Amino acid sequence: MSLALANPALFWTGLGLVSVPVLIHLFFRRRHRVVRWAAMDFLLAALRKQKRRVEIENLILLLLRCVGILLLALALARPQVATAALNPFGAGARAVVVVLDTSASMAAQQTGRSALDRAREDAGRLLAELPSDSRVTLVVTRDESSGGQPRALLENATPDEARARLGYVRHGFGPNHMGRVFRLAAEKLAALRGRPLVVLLTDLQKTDWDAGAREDVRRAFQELPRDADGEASPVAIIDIGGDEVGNVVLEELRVDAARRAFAGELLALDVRVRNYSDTAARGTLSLYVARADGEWEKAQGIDLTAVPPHGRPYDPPSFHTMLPPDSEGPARFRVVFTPAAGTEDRLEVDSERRLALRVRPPVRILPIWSYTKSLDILRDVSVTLKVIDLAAAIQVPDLAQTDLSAFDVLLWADAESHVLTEAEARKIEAFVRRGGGLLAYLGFGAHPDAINRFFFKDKGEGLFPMMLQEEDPEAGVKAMWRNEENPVEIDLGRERSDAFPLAAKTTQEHPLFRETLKWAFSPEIQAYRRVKWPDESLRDRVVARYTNGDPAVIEHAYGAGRVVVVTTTPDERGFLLNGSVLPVAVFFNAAHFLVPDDVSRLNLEVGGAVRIPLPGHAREVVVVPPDEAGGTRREPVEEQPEFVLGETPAPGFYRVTLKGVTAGTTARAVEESFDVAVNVNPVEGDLRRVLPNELRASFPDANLHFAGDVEGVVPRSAAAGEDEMSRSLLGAVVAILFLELLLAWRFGRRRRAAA
Amino acid sequence: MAESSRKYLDPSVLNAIAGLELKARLIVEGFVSGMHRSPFHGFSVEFAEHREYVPGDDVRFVDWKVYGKSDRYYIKQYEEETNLRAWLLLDCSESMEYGGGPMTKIDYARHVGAAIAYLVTQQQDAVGLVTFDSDVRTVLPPASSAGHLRTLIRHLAEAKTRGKTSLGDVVRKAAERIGRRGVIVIVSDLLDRPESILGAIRQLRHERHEVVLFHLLDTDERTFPFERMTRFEGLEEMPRVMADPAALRTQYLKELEGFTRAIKRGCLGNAADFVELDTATPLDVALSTYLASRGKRR
Repeated sequence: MSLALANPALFWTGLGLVSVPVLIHLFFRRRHRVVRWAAMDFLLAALRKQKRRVEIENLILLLLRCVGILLLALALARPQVATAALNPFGAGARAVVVVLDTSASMAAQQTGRSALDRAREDAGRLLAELPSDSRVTLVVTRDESSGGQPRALLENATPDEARARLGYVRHGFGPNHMGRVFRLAAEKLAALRGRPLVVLLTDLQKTDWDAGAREDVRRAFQELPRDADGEASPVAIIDIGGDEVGNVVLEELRVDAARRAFAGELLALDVRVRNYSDTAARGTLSLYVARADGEWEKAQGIDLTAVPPHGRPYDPPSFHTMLPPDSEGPARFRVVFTPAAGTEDRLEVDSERRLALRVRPPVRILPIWSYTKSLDILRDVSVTLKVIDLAAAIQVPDLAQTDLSAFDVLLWADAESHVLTEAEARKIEAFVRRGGGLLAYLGFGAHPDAINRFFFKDKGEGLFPMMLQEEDPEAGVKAMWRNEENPVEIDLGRERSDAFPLAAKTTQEHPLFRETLKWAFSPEIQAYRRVKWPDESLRDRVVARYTNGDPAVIEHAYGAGRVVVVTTTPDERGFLLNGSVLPVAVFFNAAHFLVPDDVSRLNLEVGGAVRIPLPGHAREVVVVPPDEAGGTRREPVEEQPEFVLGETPAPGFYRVTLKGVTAGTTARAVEESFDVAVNVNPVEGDLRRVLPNELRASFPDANLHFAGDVEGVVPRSAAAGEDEMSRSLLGAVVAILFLELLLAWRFGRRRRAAA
Repeated sequence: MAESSRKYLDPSVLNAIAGLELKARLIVEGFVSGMHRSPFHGFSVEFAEHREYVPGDDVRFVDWKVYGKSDRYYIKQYEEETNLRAWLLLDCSESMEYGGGPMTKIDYARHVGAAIAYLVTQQQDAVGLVTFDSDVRTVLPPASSAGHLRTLIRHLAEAKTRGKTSLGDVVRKAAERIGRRGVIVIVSDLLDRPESILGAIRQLRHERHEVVLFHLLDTDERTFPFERMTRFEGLEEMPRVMADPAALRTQYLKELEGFTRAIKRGCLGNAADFVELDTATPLDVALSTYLASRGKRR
């Protein structure tokens, strides 16, 4: 046991005051009256008999007074006593890193208070109980202003200073990275002086402690300071989480990735829901669409009568909403889950899911080909396929004068490549790099020397990842394959990465391949270009091949855009002779696909970032975040290929506007806006918790202590112990005072009665 | 006596009156009117005759043998009583000098003695005086004249206090001078050994004197009221002592009570009257109660 005093000066003063009763006694002993007394015999007899008793009584009273003063001084000095039983971490000043879990799950409510409210309160009590000369660093596990990373809010402060800062702690909108949290805690702990202690106030959410996280945490624990005996610093984990009550999470809101949102189109939106409770959930899903004036309008509602429990994914029926024909531009959608009356939904921040789309006008295709006579056919097709805007077609020499920024897709329909200039080639490259699409059909007009020279670079860094074969009759190398060899099957690709979404959708359901297959087997195919792969690793770009192994369709990502190369050559006769829209449909379905993937880029989770390719005319980017994420930001851009929107600290819609001035003979200001929807990471909606024993087993070498509340971690330390001991001492003082008065009265009563 | 005159019997008021004889008269007149019989009588042992009992007669003199024979009450009458010889023994030791109130003990004793002397001489009896401390100092043989009373009272007034108290030695020495049987009235604070006091009483009783012992103490000595730390400087060559009176009070009073009880018991056992006097008590009250009861007994 050890004893320390919070106010030693008071104690020493009190000790001095103990002498007061003694001095008073001596003083009054000196101050006496003198009486010439006759009845001395009686007095002497009384003195003889009473002397010892009187001395003892006086001594008792004197001792009581002295002890009372001493105890009063001790009580005012606020002693701090700690035993091993009272405080397992020892008494005296501490170096404490207090870590508050600020992941989104800490916003979960119970009886009107969030888990973070309880954590703040418990942290306040813990800090109040620390000795005043302790040093404290306050860490939050997730800080959205730091991109969702853990951060120290206050370092090397007094307990009172740390308490004052607690009010500024806010919950984040995503999960924790516990390994990073403990690494930061270890770093901050090493910078403090005193007996170390880490205290984590958390809801022990299971998802924070998955297998991958535990390995990281285990390594982080090894970085904690150790004492002379090699024992790791103690880590106290206070369980703030309440009872596990069900939570329904909107995990995903998506549109069909194979489709884009086009004005005038019926849009299908799908939601994925997970119910993390033990019983089926009931409620209503409501779809809201933002109007032009910014107000939300409810478009549709779906009643959910039995969302299965235990976190199983549940896909309710799709929402369908018609996009008005004049709705080009940013589009905002929200789906909200409202639990049925009488049921409880704990975490509100994930009861809403947002989606942002760029509603596009019909796809603007610019064919670059030689068949100007077929333009009428193409126009007819564009009327049939409403989402295609075919305003013009050009030949290669017209490329230099054409403003490609007005189009979404270039269709290189076997145009004559031998007339292509360097500048024109670079223009095509720049178009694709900025997010344009290129659908290239390689036929007789595609000359290897020009194509290879302009569009091939090593390691797939060029517009084309492969080279066209040069014919070498002497070596038996064929540059073209002709129909007489008649490959009758196309081998579709298998699993591909998301970098090549076309390849990833290599099923016969995809309209491109459906049409391609039909066409590939048509007798209209006359020939296809043969290619070669200087870099064998790029062969995975092949999406479909003929039975002899030659590639039929190649997909490649270039900059922000995409290239699809079809080695089959659609000559004019194919269009004219067939008289079918099928080959044209193939072109334009592919064109759809080549429109940049708006959906994934426009929908993030809190802390996520998006790279926005900039058109050549862009001069300024303006970002208007939701209210909770700060004010409008303006950033000048000049000749930058892209802008990175990296600050997404709060859920909501971020409006991004690209402002610029077009080049050309008549400069005009242009402005293009789109929304980025930011959502809470749905994993935080899973409020299921990990058991302490599980964590103990996972970290056997760590000095872990679990407690349900603050008293279990730092019980009866300074403040509480001081208060309690001071109260006890004051109680003792009162008791002694009472006893002293009682005894003085009793001792005096005999005397008064005698009088 | 009129109520207005009674106030002069208050010791504090009496102090202001010059003349012990006057004071004695005031004292006696203050209570004698309430008495039907004189408290002091002479002694007679010769039976003279019977007379029929009337209400008010002292039932001690009822002849029960006659009653037994006749069923009627008759009083025995004696020969004419002899004249009373009363002796006043006044303690003039140093301890009598103490007084915490308006009168010292010696002053109070003088008043008591003067009052008794006045009373006795009023009934034509003789009264004498012995003043003493550890030894006999003054002896004034009994007489009943007015001149003798004045002389006695003058001796009372002029008596000075000194020395210690030793009642036993004094009585032994005074016994020869006292002579025939009489009433011995001792006024003393009795601050002496109990055996000395009781020995004196026994001796006096043995010589067939009637003894009245007035135990005179100051109020302070009776109550020990002191609170503060006090240095008590003893009179009569007693030591000085520093003491906390409040702490000793209980035991002191116990000692005093024990002493007083012993003396009282001793007096009772020797058929001597024991009267406690307090210097704060008005003198008429102090004497009338005793003298009235004494009168009834006769």
